[in-house]
Amino acid sequence: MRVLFVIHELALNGAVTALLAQVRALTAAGTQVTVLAPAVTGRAAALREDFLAAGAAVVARTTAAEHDVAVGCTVFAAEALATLVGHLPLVWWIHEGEGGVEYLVARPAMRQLLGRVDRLVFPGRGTVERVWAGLLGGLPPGRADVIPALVAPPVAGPAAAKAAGRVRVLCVGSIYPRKRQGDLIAAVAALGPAAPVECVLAGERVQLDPAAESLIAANADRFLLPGGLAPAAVQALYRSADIFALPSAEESMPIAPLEAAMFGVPVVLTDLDCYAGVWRHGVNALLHPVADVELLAWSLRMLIESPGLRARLAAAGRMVAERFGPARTTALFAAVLGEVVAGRQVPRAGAG
Amino acid sequence: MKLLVVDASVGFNGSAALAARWAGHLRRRGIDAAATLPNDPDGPLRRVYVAEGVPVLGPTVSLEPDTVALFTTAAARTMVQQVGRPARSIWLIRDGHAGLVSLAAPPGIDRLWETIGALVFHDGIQPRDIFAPFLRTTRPDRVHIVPPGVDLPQPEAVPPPAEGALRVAAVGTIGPRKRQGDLLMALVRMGDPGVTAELVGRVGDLPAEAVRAAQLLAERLRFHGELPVGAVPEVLAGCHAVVLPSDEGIAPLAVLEAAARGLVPVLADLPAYRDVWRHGRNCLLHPPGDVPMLAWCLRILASDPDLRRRLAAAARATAARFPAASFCARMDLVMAGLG
Repeated sequence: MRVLFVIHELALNGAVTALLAQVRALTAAGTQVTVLAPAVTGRAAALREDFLAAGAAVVARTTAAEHDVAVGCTVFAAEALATLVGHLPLVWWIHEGEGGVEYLVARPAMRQLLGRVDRLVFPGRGTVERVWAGLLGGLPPGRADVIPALVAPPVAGPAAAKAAGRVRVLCVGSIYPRKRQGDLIAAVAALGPAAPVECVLAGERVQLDPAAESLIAANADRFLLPGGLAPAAVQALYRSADIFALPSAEESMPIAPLEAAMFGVPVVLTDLDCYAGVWRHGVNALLHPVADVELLAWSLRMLIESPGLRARLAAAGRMVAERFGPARTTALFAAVLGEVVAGRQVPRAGAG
Repeated sequence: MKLLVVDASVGFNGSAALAARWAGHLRRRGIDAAATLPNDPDGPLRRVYVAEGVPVLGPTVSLEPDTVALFTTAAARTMVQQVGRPARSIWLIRDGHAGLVSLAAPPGIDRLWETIGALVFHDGIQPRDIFAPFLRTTRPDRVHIVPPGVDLPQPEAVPPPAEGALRVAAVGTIGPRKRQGDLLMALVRMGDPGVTAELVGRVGDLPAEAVRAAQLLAERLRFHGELPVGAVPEVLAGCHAVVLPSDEGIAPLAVLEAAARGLVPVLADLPAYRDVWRHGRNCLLHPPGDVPMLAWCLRILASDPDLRRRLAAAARATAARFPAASFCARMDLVMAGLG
C-alpha cells in the first residue's frame, strides 16, 4: 500500500510526534509512506530528519496517482486534503479538541470536508462524543473512528539528575497559554518554601505570563526550564519524575501524560471532556478544573505527602497507558487504511 | 380524578419525600390523591404524607383509582398484586442498579413495562445504562426524564458558613448501601481531633472496621437517628459539608437539600452524578470505597476555608436548579399527557 500523509509542519509537537510513530510502524510493515509537507525550515522542520530516518519520503508536492490513500493530519490539513477529494480515498486524522472545532466553525468551506472524506479519525472517544459531536451529527454511522495515540513502551536508560530529597514535578509540552503552565508554577509556589519539591517544565518556551516569570525568578532553585528536548532527554526526565502535571485549558488526547504513565509516573490533569473514559479522578489520575490553582496545589500536596497514593495512581496510570501500546494502535490504523482503500466507503467527489 | 400513590419506601427517604410532596401538591390543586404505603404503613412515612394533607389508606387498598402513581421499583409488586389495571398509570423509578432486585419478582411484572402509561426517570443514565433491558416493550414516548426537586430555603434563612473546625453531616439510613462506614474510617485516618460528624438516619449494619472507627471517634460523632423532616435543616445548619460515600444512587435528595443550605457535597464518584456534581467545581469526589481519598477530601475542606466557601457557593447554585415546584410541575405534565 502507498500512503500519503498530509501535514502543515514537521515541528516537535504532539500531532507530528504521533504521525512519526505511525509512519515508523507502517514503514516497518512494508508500507510505502510519503509525507507531504510545505518546504518549512527551522523549528517547523525539527522532525524532518526523523521522518527520513523512518523510511518515509518527505515531499513538498506530489500527484494523487502516486498513492493509494491520503491521510490529512490535523485540522490544518483541510485545504490540502480538499484538493484530493475524488482522486484518492481520504482519511482525516484530527488531533485537535475545542480549538479544532472553533477553527472549522469559522471556516464553513473547510467544515464541509468532514462530510467528504471517507473516514475521520480521532484520538479518543471523549473527543468524538463531547467535543466534536456538534459537527459530526449529520454524518453516516461509522464515519468517525477512534484510534488512540501510539505510545511506545518505556526503554531503559539513565534518569535525569535531580536534587536529593526533592519530589520532582514534570510538565512536558510547549510553553504557551493554552497549556497553562503558569498554573503549575503558581501551584508549586503555593506549596510554600518548606515543601520538598522542584518543577521541571520541558518544552519550547513560546509564551509565559509575567506573573509566572516572576514566580520563577523568586524561586529559581525550584524551577527548571530546559527548553525543547530530544525524545531521549525527555525520557530521561520521565525516569526522574515523581509526578507529571499538565494543566491545559484545552487538549484532544495529549501523548505526554500517557508517556509519563508508561514510565510509572502518576499524572495530574485538568478535567477536560476529551479525557472521559480514559483519565478518572482518584482512580488513575488526579483531576482539577481548568485554572483552579488552589486544587492543583492540593493535588500536588496529596501526591507529595502520600507515597502510597503515588504508587497506586502510578500503577493504575500504567494500565491506562498500556491501552495505547503500539500493537493495538498500529493494527487499528492499518485496518482503517485497508478498509478505505478496499472501497468499503467509496470516495465521491462533491458529496456531502 | 382519583389518584393513588403507591409508595413502597421503607422508612422516610428521597422517594417518599418526592411522592408525598407531589401528592400534597395535587390535593392542593383539588385532585383526590391518597397514598398506600405497603412496606411502612404505620411508621414515619405516614407522618410525612399526613403533614402534606394526603390521606394514607390501609394495606388493602379500598380506593378505586383511575390513576396510579408508583414510586420506586418495589412499588410494582403492589401494583401487580393489589391494584389491578387502572386506566392511567405513572411509574417513577428513582432506583439505580439496586432497583433491579425488585424486578426479579413477582410474576406479571414484565407486563407492567408494556402497559404502564408513563415511565419516569430522574436521569438519562437510568433508561440507557441500567433499565434498558426492561424497556424493549415500552413505547419510547412513554419514557420521561423528570429531575428531582427540593425545597429551596430563602437566602436569608441560610446561615452564613460556619467558622471553626470542620463539621460534616451524613443523612440517610446508616448501613452498607450508603457506606457511612467509609466516612467514619476516613475521619479516623485524618487524625484531626477537631473534625466532627453529625449522622442522621436509622442505624443499620456497619462493617466491623467501621464500628471500631465509631468507637475511636466516640465524642466526635453524634447519631441523631431518624428525624422528622423539619428537624434535618437544624442539624445541617452548623455543618460545612454533607458526605455521601454511597456506591449506588441516582440524584440523592439529601445532598441537594444540604447543598441548598450551603454545605459542600463530598460524594463517591458515580456515573449518575456526572451532569450535576463535578469534582472541584461544586463538590469533592472520590472513587467509591476509597477511604484514603475520602480522607483527603475532608482534609482539604478542613484546611482550606476559601475553597470550602467557593465550593459551597457553587453547590448552592447547583441545588437552585432543582426546585420542588419544578418537579411537581413536570410530573403534572406527565400526568396530563396520559390523556
